[in-house]
Amino acid sequence: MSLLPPTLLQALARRKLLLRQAVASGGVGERRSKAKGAGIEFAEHRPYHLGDDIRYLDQHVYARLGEYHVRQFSLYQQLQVTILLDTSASMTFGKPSKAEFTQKLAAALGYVALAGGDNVRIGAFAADEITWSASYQGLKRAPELFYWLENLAFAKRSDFNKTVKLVMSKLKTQSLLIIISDYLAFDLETSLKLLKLKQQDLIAIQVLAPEELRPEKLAAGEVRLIDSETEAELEVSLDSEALRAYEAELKAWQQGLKDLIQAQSGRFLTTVSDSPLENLLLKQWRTARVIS
Amino acid sequence: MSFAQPGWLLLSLLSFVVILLHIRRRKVINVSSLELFKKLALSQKPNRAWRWPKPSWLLFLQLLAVILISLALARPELGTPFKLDHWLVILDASGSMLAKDGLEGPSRFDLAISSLKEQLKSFDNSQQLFSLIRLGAEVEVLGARLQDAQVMSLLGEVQAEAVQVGKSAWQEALSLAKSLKSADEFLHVTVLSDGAGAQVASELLAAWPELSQQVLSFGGALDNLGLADVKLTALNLAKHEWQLEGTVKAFGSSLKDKSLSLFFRPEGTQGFLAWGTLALSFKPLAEGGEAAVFASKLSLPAAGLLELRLPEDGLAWDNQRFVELKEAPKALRVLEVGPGNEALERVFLAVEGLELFKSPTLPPEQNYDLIILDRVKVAQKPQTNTLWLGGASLSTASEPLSLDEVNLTAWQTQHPLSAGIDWSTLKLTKALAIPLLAGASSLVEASGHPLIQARSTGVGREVILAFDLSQSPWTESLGFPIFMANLLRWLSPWQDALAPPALGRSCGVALVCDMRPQELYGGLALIPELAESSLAPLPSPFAPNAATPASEAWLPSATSAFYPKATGLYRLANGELLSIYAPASPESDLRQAAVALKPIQLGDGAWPMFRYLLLGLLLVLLAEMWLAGRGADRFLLRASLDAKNPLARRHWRVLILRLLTLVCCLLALLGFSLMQPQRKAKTVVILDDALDNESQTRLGSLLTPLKPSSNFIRFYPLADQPLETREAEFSAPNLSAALKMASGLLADAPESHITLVTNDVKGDLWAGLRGLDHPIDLLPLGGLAQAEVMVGPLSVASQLYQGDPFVLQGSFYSAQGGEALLRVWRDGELYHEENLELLRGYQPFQMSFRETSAQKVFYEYELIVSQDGQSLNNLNNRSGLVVAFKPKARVLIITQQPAWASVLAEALALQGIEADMVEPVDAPYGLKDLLGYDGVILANVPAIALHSVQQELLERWVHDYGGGMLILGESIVLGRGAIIRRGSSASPPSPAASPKKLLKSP
Repeated sequence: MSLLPPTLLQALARRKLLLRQAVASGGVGERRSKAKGAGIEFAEHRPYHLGDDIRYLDQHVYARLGEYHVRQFSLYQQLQVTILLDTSASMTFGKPSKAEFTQKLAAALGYVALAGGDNVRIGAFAADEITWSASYQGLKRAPELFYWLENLAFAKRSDFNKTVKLVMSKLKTQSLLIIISDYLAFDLETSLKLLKLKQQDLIAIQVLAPEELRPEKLAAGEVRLIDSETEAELEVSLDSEALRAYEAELKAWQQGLKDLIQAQSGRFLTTVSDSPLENLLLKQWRTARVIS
Repeated sequence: MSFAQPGWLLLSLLSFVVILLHIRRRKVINVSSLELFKKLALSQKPNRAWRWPKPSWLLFLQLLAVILISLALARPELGTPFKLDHWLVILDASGSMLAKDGLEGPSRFDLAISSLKEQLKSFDNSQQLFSLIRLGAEVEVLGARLQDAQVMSLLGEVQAEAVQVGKSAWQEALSLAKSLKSADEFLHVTVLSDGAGAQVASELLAAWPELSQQVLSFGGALDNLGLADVKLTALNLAKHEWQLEGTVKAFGSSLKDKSLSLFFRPEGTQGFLAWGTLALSFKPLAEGGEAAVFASKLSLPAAGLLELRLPEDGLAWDNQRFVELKEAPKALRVLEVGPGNEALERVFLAVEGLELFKSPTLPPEQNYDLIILDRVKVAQKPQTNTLWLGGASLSTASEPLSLDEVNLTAWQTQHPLSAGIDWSTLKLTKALAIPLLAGASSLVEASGHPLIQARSTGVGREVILAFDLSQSPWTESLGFPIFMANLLRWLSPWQDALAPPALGRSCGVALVCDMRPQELYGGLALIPELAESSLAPLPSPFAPNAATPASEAWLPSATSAFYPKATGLYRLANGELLSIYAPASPESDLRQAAVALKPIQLGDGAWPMFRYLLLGLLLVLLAEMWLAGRGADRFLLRASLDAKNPLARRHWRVLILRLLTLVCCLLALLGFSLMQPQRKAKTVVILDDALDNESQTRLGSLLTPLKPSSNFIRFYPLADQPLETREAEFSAPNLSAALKMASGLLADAPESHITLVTNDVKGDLWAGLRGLDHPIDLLPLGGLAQAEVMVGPLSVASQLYQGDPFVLQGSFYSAQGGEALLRVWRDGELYHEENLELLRGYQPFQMSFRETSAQKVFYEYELIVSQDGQSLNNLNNRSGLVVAFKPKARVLIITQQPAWASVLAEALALQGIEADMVEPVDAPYGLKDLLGYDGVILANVPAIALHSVQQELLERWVHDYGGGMLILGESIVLGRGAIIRRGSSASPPSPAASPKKLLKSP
């Protein structure tokens, strides 16, 4: 439980992930599903058909209408929550590093999902491969989830398109998909089209390093920049004008991402790796109706 | 301060590269992605192209490192005097070094040796190695990398010789000097010579400025007289008339006395008689100096010594010539031991000047030139030349086995004993299986068993015939007397070669002993007749082991040459006198003044800064590595090297490169020679220049990998190889000299070895390879490619007359055998053609021809063997020779019975000999009538039928002019004893030995 402080865990244990489109669809859980069956909470009547259990015949309706109707009850099932974690080399950048922050963030979201009775599965993607965790259910599995997250290695280049293709077969329709990444060098448009086919309730969380928001923290003047994934080099002059231009470019890029995701009925959240988690999760994202 | 390798200073130009890199240097920042920054870069204006880098410790240290590296590699040394590791002296031992600048003083050579000894004393010999190359008739490494006392004893033995040393020899000596240098040592080369030699050496050394060098020149300009080309020929021996011819060369204008004095010492007397003075008329020469050609008739009354003497001057060896005159030839003494063979005796009795003795057993006194052991057992080997016949052997030896079938399988045509012999005529029914002795050459073989073998031992030649002559028809064939004549010539090779042609005899009445020392064979000690001390033969690598008896110490013929080291008159152990003097040579020209002397500078040695510079470099590199690694390049930060760091690999690479640089620097500091690895194991390749073209081609590919790390010596088995064509790194006149040179080159490399490339893997080669310090790889390249045929040298009889049948003989070598076409061309026209079945391997052949209508004296024959598939470019398949046909022999038949003699004349005509017949009364009275004939046949002519004048004329004609005479008839005819014999100095053997002396031929 070293990833998250106990106080935070205690606070998160009472929370649930809020949904927009996703519905619970399997197992026995705490979320009311669209399925009807042998439950406690009455849902509706329907005409009797041969073979129906006659114990559910509603005699009051028969008395009133002279027709046979059976009573139907709502079922409480589990929600499939899939968290995709970017483990490419670019995530190691920043102080504190984005990787470290992302691990904590995924742990917190996973914990909230487990607390809400959801079924959680995490996939770490980098290059053209994806590493899946086991499916976790119930808070008692939280330590396993944290342990798995702690042992993640961040390296290689990211290729989100290939990742999405690999993920598609594992996703349930209308489940909750959380993607945590820096979204640098992502071709998001193509990927979102694919995800739409599965009617995913998408929460895209962008994690940036403080230096990426404010490059003046890196250096000033003429510098040679080296891409952490491709090792490509670029020489630029980081003067005040360039910094202003960078800021504008960054905002435009983030807005572009947001528009793209919202167009697919998704939610786009941005954060910085030095943000305090408690504030982020319990205040900002509650306000944003991500967590209850 | 001086630099040993100043070229490396140019490396400091790399400083500009360092500055350039700093100019281009930017602060390196890792970012997660360049995506946003790329858009930024597109909108930015280009930077200023040139901006000086900011001064920094890193830049300073890097510049310092570059300068230190270039300085260290340039090997600077403080101080000027050198510290000697290896002192190599090239000593000129040519004829001019024997000159004395003061008539009583020491020679230039002695002065050079004294000077060398003085300088050696001033050295701390424990610190230096010493090598000595002597430049005489050969370039000789007398000692390589010697220490202390070895040097002084070596200098005590070295001598000069009256030979010429040319520029090519100097080049060879200097190449040798360079190759004797080890990688890390300081080699200093000192050349000790006189004016002319020093001039050549200075010019050649100028091409090697990197070599520490010094030329010391001894002696000044001298005027000199020299004798050259002296020849004494007999005009009329009866009247003691001689013709003396020669040349005197004069170098210098200050010579006043240019007279040539003659002195004569009659045989058996002491001291020389003044015999007169020859007036000389000098004429200037184009090449400088002047020369006088003299020719004078002399009357010398008796046998003795004639001395030609020029006035005493600086160079003694070209002032004197000795010529020995003999009244009579020294007879060859031959002893036949055993039952005897009539045919053999007949042959020896026919030889002029030979005394044949016979004894049933081997007498204790063995004062013979040749002992023939015929089917006898002897207790010990004779200590002279020996001919073993019919299974004769030592009594301790076991009986050899008999051969059931004797079919000749191979023979050798190139051996001196085979000259002019058609071995195919040797028909034998029985023979003995005698193994080939060590060092022996097999002349004729039957199924691998030598039938005739010959070798040279420490006491003379040894020939073994593995068959009984008395049971062989070979004695009746022409080859037998030729073989015996060859044998006698082989025993004393110089006599026949250099006898005055006017006398026409193998060992003339008056023998002018002008001999080539190379023709001596081993075992004969040369004792200078008129010298103060005796000379011993120089040790050679082929000297017999002390524990081996001289008779068993076989000597390879090619290496048994003896080189007298001083001119003068010598007496051989067998009593022969030899006059040994140097040929005419430019060494007599001493007008070249000595060049200025340069004293050897010795000191404690320069202070090498290499190590200190390296130490400084190491510190600088460490500091730079720390600064760079903890600073901008970050490769010394743990986080940068962590696997999680995306640039960890880059940082590791930089770190490893820096560490490698430090390790290299440290190794260099500790003395590991990375730039110039020192070879401990060297290879010297000795190449046989007599390799055929095929082998030379194959050799090229084999030696290519050896070339970078080997020395090459080419040796010339053919003595007449022109010096100008020698292109190898080193060259040697023969294998012995090449091996000596190789030993010198490998003196400091005990693990090294010699590779000998030769196809001549038979005969004497093995002897030369014994007792060497270094292992030898023998690389024979023999064999021809498939479908190639090689035709060996052709030979015919040494003397042919027009109309004589003659046998053309030689050998083929075929790699695969098969059918071939043989063509003989004569003077460019097809002469003979036949199909041939070639066997695989060597195959002897002989073909009989007869020039019945020979119009010319010389004919050129070429034999070509063609086989399908052979290369057109290969010239191995042909061989040729020029045959000289003397005019038809003419004989004069003196007879009283013309009808009977006409039958003889017709028989002679069938053999191509013209015959004239005359009655005794018409026989010539004057010499001029006889000179047109090659021989005279006295057919049934009694002595009384010829006038005494005619008889004396015939005697003189045979005796003095070499005319042939055949006497036919019965007891009444002019016969043995009827003509007075003259001039035999031979004395009969002592009665105690009592061998029976056989009668000699007239």
